[in-house]
Amino acid sequence: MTSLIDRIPRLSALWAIVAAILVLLGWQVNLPLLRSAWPGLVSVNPMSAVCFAIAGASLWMLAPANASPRARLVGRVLAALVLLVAGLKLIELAGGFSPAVDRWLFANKLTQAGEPRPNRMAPNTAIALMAFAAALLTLRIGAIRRARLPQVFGLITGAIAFAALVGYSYGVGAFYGLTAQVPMSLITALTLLVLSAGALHTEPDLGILGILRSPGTSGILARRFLPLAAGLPLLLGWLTILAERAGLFEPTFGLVLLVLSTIGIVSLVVWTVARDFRAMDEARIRAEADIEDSRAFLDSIVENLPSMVFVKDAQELRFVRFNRAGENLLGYSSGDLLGKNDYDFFPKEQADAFTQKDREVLYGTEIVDIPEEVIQTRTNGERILHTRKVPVLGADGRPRFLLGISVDITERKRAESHIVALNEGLRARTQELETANRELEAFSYSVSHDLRAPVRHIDGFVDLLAKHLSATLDDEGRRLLQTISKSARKMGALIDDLLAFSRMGRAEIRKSTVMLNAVAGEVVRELRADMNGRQIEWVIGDLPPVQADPAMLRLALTNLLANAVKYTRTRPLARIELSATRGEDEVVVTVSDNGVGFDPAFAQNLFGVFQRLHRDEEFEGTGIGLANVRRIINRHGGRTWGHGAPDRGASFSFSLPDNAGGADGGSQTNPLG
Amino acid sequence: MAALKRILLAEDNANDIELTLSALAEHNLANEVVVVRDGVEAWDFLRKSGSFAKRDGANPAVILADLKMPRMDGLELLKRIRTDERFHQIPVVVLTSSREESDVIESYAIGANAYVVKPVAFHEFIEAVKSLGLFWAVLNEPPPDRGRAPVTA
Repeated sequence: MTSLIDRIPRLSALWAIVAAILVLLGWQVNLPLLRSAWPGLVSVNPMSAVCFAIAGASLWMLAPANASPRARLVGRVLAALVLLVAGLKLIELAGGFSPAVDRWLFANKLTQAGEPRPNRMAPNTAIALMAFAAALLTLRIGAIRRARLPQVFGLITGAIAFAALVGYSYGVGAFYGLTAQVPMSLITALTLLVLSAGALHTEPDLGILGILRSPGTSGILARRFLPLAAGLPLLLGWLTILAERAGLFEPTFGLVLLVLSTIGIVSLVVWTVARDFRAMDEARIRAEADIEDSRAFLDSIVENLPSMVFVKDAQELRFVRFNRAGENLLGYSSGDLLGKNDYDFFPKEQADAFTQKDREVLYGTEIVDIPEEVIQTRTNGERILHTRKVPVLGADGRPRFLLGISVDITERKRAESHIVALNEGLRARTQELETANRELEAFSYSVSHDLRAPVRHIDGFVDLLAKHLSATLDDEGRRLLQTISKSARKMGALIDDLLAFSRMGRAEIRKSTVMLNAVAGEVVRELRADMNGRQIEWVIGDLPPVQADPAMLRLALTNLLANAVKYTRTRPLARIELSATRGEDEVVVTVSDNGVGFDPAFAQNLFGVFQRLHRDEEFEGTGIGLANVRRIINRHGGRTWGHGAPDRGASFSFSLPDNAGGADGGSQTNPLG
Repeated sequence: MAALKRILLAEDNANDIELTLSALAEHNLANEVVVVRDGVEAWDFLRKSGSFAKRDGANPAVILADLKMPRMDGLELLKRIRTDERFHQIPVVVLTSSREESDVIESYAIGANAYVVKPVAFHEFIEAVKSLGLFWAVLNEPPPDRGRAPVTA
């Protein structure tokens, strides 16, 4: 949408063209009113009218800011034509040669009855036309928008026309006609004034018009005082002269009246302007206070951000702002940094790279994100930064500042690479362990299968041999064969125990709540079956529930109680006690007996694989039981230990971690437990 | 007494064969035993191909198979028997030295009717073989239209 302001140039062009046509029509059909606007006034020279038409057409062509190159060319040629015609007229007046351009048209009609001189183009008209042509020719030359020359020339045109109009309204001929020359006609004065307004409005945002239209104090001042300065004296003076001519009062009285009313009205206007300015001042002071508040607010945010924030000017990329985190990170104070650029702090190559990046940011459209950037600081060594750079544009859309925000990610990077290294190591270790585990499994499988077979064969063939020789075999022979057989079975038992022990180490632990009392009861019942008439006093205390793998715990308990039964065999009345105590974070279970006991010097050996403190003839066994107990309890995170003295009984204890009342709420493998 | 059905013994170890046979002999079952030395031979026997192309007679009443054998092991043999509709009804007893849980689980999963760990003590072994042989070869004569094998039941 084009506003009225934007239409003014073309409307005034239209005015000029229409006026020219009317005037020429007036000459053609001999209608003086059409060419002078008022009876008795001087007519517009036909060549002046032609000049108005050409000037109007030129303005029409040149007015739009986006006029095509062809329209511009045509417009400029037309303006040059006006310049030429008016220039020839002035040369003639200056006493040069006389082409008499103003007598080319309607030559025979120029001398009219009742007029003292033939109609010519007035000198001030010629000057005004030249000024107007110059305004059009200087319009929008070059790439940068400028309005100074067109507006100056436009004002000259307007001033000449205004002077003529004032002269007409006051009836003072000197202002519209130079001595001995035909004066400027009223239509000419009006048309030139309109054309001048058109020329001024070709760039309504710039120069004089820009000030006149600005919303600020300058605009208010210009808008109030320019009409006042131009119109008030004119109006008052005119009224005074009218009154004097009518004989209402003396000239001196009129002058005093003029002065007083001027003072009064000007003072009034000054007063209103001052009042408006005061309101604006107050608003500005409030706004400035608000701006100061929000600046302080933003300042405190920027200063207290944990990330480095810096601002560089777009021209030379010098630091204009640096927050506290930035000072701490780089090891420089704001004072050291402000006004300097990257070349003052970094090696040239690095500074070149930074500067190039900065330029890209400033003239690019997107935020630039630099995920990793290594910089050398003054006090903190080498740091790794994650930086984001943003162009800050001015109101004209050109970059004014470069805003940078950097987060120090050195620690994070270090931690990450540390974790990566740890993971790498862990993976390698896991792989080693998995390999070892696989090898172990393969080994025990092969032991289980391959080692047991020959042992079994020995026993089998000894049996076959005994049958084969049954007729001839004497007692000694039978005893020898039995010994072989027994050894083979012993070896089979050892292999089986060893395999079971190995399985115990590999099997997955599935913890749940185990009622120790119930399990102990079952184990005791099973053991009683093999007691063939022995006297055993069982003392089973109050046992708490524990978190454990039920099958494994049962095996551990079986081993301990079976041992107790075994090593009390020599006692006429055996006494076996099972008790438990609840500590702060563990439950300790103890099995004690009044059996043969052991030498405490060997207490540590007891829990080793195949470690025995008694001969096989005294107490049979493979020596795997306590090793199994220790392995089971260790895998539950508990400890095992034993006390004893030769012939004074033994007691074996194990502990289980007790987190039933603890913070982590017990079993992790059995959420329902 | 009903006619004894044949027992197929798949075992690569000569000692184990001798011991098993003598154990079966104690219960008058030995003359009904066909011994093959690995899974391939056992499979040939069942399909009447290879060196058993000319054999006569029906399927064995029971197959005693060792797990670890050359060429084709006991598990593979068991798998083939259970997926072939001509043989899938034959009871198979896995007879082995291995106590490894994974072997036991896998054998039953494929459809072994029993899993017997060969005991070290020979008299126990005799007892085990005896009950196996008697149960499967004499007492447990399967009807021709007997239900499907456990693996597909």
